Amino acid sequence: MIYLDANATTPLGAPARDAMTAAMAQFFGNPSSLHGRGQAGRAQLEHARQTVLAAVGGAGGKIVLTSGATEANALAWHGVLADRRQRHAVRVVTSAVEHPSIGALAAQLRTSGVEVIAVPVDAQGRLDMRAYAAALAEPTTLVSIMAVQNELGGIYPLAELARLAHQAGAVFHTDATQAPGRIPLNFHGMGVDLASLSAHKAGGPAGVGALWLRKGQRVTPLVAGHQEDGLRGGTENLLGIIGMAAAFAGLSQQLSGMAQVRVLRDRLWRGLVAAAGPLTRNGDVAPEDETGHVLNVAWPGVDGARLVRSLDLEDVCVSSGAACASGTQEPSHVLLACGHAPAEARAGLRFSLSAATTPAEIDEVIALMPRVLARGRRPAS
Amino acid sequence: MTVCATPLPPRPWTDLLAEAGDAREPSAIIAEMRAVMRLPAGARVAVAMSGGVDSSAVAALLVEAGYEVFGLTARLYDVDPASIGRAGTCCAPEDARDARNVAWALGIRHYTLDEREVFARAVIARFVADYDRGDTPNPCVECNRTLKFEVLVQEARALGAEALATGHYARLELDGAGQPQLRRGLDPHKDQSYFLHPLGADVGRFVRFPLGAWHKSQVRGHAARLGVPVAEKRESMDVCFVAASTPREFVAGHRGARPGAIVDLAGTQLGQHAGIAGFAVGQRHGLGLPPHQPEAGPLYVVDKRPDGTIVVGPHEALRATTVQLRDLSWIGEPPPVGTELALQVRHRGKAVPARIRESHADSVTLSVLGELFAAGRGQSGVLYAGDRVLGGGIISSATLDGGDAGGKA
Repeated sequence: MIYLDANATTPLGAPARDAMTAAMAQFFGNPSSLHGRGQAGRAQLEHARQTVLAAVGGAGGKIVLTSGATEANALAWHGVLADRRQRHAVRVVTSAVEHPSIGALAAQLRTSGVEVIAVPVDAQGRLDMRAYAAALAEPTTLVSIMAVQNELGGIYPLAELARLAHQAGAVFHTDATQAPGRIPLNFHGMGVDLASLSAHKAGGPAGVGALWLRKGQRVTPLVAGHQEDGLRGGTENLLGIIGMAAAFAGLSQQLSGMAQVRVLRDRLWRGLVAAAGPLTRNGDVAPEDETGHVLNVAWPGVDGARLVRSLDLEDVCVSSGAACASGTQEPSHVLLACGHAPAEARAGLRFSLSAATTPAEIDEVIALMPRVLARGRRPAS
Repeated sequence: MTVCATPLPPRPWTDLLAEAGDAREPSAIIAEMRAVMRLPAGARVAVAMSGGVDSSAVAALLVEAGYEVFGLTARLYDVDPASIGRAGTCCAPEDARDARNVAWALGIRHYTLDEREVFARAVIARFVADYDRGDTPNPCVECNRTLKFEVLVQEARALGAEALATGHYARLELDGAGQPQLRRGLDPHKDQSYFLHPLGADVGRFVRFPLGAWHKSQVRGHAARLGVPVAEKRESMDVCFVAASTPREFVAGHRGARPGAIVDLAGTQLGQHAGIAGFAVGQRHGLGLPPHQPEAGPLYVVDKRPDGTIVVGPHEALRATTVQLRDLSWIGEPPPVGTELALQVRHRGKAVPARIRESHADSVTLSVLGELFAAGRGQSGVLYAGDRVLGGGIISSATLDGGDAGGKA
């Protein structure tokens, strides 16, 4: 099996697996209990929280542990807006290429009458900075722009975006799900106010994540309860949290492996061009503006979802823009936002690599692709 | 899973197979599957999975026979809220879930294809337009032609499959020259060869119908033996996407009801109707006509005109001696003019002797040699030689030579 779908989820890394296995045998206390077992759990919990905080450059800030980035996004949006709404009308500025969990929040708020502006991107997925500035000309409550684009790998200039948001008096949130281990993170230094995190894109377990809050940043909780400083009720997922912390403790190491990942990604691109062209590349931006682990390509006229199925039968795991097991296949909203026609957007195919990817795997995929394409092309009719 | 109104109690597969009279060892079943598939063990094959017991059983039998099986399910339409929980549909979202669950239970890959656009265009829109202009279309034939024989075949080939198997009850073999031979299924109650006539020679060499020689009771028994989770599921039937409504309501919902006159053969108006989609050629009841002289005999729908007029007449007016088929396709070489064969104009109808009078690239004119009544425009006319399907098309006219007849355009 060749797994090139790291942006969907990464396999559980050894540090997380070992830490969780050990914890499973050791800790069963409820961190809220007063007795020794509870205190041991609480100690693990707080240790994990500090580890995550340090790993994302969140000095002085707060980590609210959640069930994942989707919940963190919802806590950021609803939490900030509910806090402000008591005093002001609210308005949100976001981008056209956010993860569907942000898209769903935007749709939900629009239904309840809140103005939500989606800033467009250019043909390669770069944020239109002029449109961004224009969107901030009106009083804005919350700005929410992702750190790393999940389908293209593009990096958005958080520091600049946060600065402009603050000038407009807005709070700045980023969905940083795809960022840990792929780009250096320093939320505090970047001027970010809230950041959503997920464990399972960086070698941690699924079902756990966090919302980082700048010191003094207020949010109204979604789930009432005394845990997480009153910001997220419910007994903590201690095992998951320990796994997340173990994974995040190794982020700098993951980051140092990214140069090699980029070499492999470029090898994949060049190999495909030579062996299986013609094909086009989506999200083709300067190397410093992308993570180096994503290759989003399109073979004109070839359905990306069909290629995903075809590669799956050869035991190669990749992704098309937006697949859904229920059987509706909508074209990628990201590629549509880049200006592609629906048919072009349906052709998108995403390879996302990780430090576990080997040169032999890349060469095997390059060798496989012409055969998969030959049988996958729709007849001219 | 589709909820059955009256769930069948689960029964041991040994009982089911004993009742079906099937005492074969699995090795014999495997040998039969290999013969039907004409492929060595380990070959990659696709199964068109509808979520029903037949196609699920095919997937299970092919897994047992050692093939690398994957399932394909086409999602054809959105759920009609009125039909939720109603048995007797196919390819609705909940059936796609059933198919997926079966595939996972068998340990095979399964992909759902979003074919709602193709289905809306190729099947539903045609169904509505055909009904609206007075034809009585057969959407299952159109679905086989476009969805199964084009979309799924293409997908299966694209995914490297060497064959696409379906759960249809029809036999499909190659003759000595490598030409596909489509025959009636051996279970007379399940034979689906009528719906499969658009199968061309190329697709006919790629598609397999492993259940063609089986009876339904055997299929249920083997499905249960192989642990297929939908072995108890009820039969699918009716026009799937019409679901809880009638064709008249469905067509009216898409086109608006079009009431019209009911006239006799002389053109005298006898009454009114609420929309032609509610009527079929040959229909006797439900016309809502005032009583007339009993000696005249009962009146039948003999024609539905594109202007919305329904013509009624005596039973004799339903007789046809000449039938024309359009959108004709032959599975093998077209037989010469003068060939005698048998014409079947409805599923489970009786095939009647006929002779080819004129033959063109995609149409044929037949002289009916037997008694043929109520051959409605839009229905499939399927041409058999014994139990073999030679080809078929859509009835464009059915007339009585020297007289007026049903289905006349």
